[in-house]
Amino acid sequence: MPSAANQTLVPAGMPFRPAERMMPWLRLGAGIAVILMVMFGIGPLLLHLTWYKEMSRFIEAEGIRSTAIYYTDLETFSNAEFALRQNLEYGPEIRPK
Amino acid sequence: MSESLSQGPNQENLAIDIAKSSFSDLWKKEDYLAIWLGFIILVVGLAIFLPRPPANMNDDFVKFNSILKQEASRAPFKTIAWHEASEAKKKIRVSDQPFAKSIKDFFAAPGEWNTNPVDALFMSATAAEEKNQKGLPLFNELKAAAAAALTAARASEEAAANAQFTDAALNDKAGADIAAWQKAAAKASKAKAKTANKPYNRFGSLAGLAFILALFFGIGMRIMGKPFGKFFVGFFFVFIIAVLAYTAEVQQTMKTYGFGFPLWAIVFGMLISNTVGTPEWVKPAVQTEYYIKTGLVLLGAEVLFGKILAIGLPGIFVAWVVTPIVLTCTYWFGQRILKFPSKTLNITISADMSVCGVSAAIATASACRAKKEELTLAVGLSMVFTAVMMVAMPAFIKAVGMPEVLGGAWIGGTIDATGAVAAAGAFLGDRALYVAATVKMIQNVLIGIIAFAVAVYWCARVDCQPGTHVSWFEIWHRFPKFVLGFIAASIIFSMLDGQLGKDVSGAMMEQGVIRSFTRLLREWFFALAFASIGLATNFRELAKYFKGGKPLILYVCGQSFNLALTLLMAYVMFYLVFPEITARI
Repeated sequence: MPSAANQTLVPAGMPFRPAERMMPWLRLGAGIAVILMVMFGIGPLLLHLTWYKEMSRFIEAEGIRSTAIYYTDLETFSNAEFALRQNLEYGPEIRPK
Repeated sequence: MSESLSQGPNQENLAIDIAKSSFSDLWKKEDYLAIWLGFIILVVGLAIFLPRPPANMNDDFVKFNSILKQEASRAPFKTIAWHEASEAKKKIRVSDQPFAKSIKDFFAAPGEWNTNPVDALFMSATAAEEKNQKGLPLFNELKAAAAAALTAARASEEAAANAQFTDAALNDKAGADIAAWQKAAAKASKAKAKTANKPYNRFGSLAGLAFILALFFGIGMRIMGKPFGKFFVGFFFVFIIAVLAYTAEVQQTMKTYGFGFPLWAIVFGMLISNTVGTPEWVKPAVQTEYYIKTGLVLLGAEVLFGKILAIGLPGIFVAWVVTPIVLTCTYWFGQRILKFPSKTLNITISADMSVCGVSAAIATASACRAKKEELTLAVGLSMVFTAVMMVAMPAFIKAVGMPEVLGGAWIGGTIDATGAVAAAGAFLGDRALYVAATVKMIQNVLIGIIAFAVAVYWCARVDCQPGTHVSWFEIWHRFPKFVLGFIAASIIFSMLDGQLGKDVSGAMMEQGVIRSFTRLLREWFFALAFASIGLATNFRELAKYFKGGKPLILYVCGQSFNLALTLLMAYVMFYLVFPEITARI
């Protein structure tokens, strides 16, 4: 026999299943846990692989935004294009060896 | 039920089904409204930046260019004065003025963090000072090394000058010592940046930005005849997802892998929609197409056709000949060999893999009205492969002893994500970076043409009954109109770029209007779009598109072909046909 309190929360004819109602929130919690595990567990662990470790240090030292999606999103492209243009337009003539 | 990127959940497919247009489409249809909104931002950007050039800009450009020419004719290597003039010229930019810095700060995304996400939004004066102090010893060390390298470079240059620059050994030594000084100076400059942290509090600016964007897009919704209030309220939720996505992107470990905000926005959005569900009050603001189309019009202004000449013919061949061949062959392979069930998914993956990753995927998916799940899949594939290629390619290039220029061209032409190209190229060396970045930039510009071609092809060939003739009138009705805004923005900004000249355009347009204003908004719009995609995507629906692993097979086969053809073309162009250009890089 459902209690008076439950009768006000659950629509008539619907069984009261608190665990079922909690499921979406548990799934959300589990999802967040997976993201945190990737960010603070698996991610840093993979960085111990030699090449990733070197690349990670390099990106940090150079301040490169490796996540940029277009050339205008990072200064590195602007600097590289500028340097190349200076070399080709104003650089001294250098014959190929 | 999946919806196409270009047809919102509440829109009737009127333009396609009964081919009827009316004058009111100009403000009631999302495609047109995105063009107006995008152009309002572009005009505001031009009005803010163009009338405020740095003091003596034109005179300074003339002065420094004259020094560069004079020095280039004086010595067979780039002298110290040449480098100093070049550096001084680079610093002439509108973005260094206080008003431009304020604008950039207002639109700034969350900053970098490691273990505490609050660091992304707030840094106290004490914390900033602590960071600066931490970076100071390294900066002092590198500054001293740069000064010593400069002294050595001066001595070598003087010795070469005393021999009238006729002694090849002295010239080579001077050139090498000056290059070493440049390298040391660059290192010191980067270390200096780590001692210049300033306190920030982004809570206020983000709240202000959310309000302005809610108002901006909300007014657009009202013009289209949709309720302003419901959109306005829900918008803040979508904006928070976008902020979270940016925050995850700049986490120290995650940024190494190149996992950008598009991926995180989809992940966070899907996490909510597939667990507790997207709240009903948020749904009116889940407007993927609206944000993406407005963002694409802004992106159009960044597609500057003058860039394709940056490295001359070798760059054009590597980026503009190989890319369309790979795109077409991959699409053909997907249709004929793999029997891809969805043409839109096939072309989105093909463009994403062959052109430039996420930005190409967004433009192509929108042009062919791909489904949001298809764009999600293409973005996910691209980011995973980018994370691998960004590390594997420089490792391979170094292992086999490939020349820097060839390695740079190969990286620029094949790694999808633009940021990863910069990281991988710079990892190999300066020359590799210059070539990689320039090839990628030229490839970036190609997305304007690809998007337009895909939109026309889809309207004329794919979206019609086999064997039927489609009139131009019909094609016009079916054509995604926002693509015209994208192309128009590209043409107008390319013309302005050409009119102003490379130096002035670089200082005013690229560093000002684009990099300090429109591109910051464009990124926010894409973040909102990807958050909306996540909030409206069902995980089971997404899984269906991956059935049989065909997208993965398509990507791997297409990328393998891309790697082979780009390497061949880069070798032929940079080493057999144009070795004189390679020598000057």
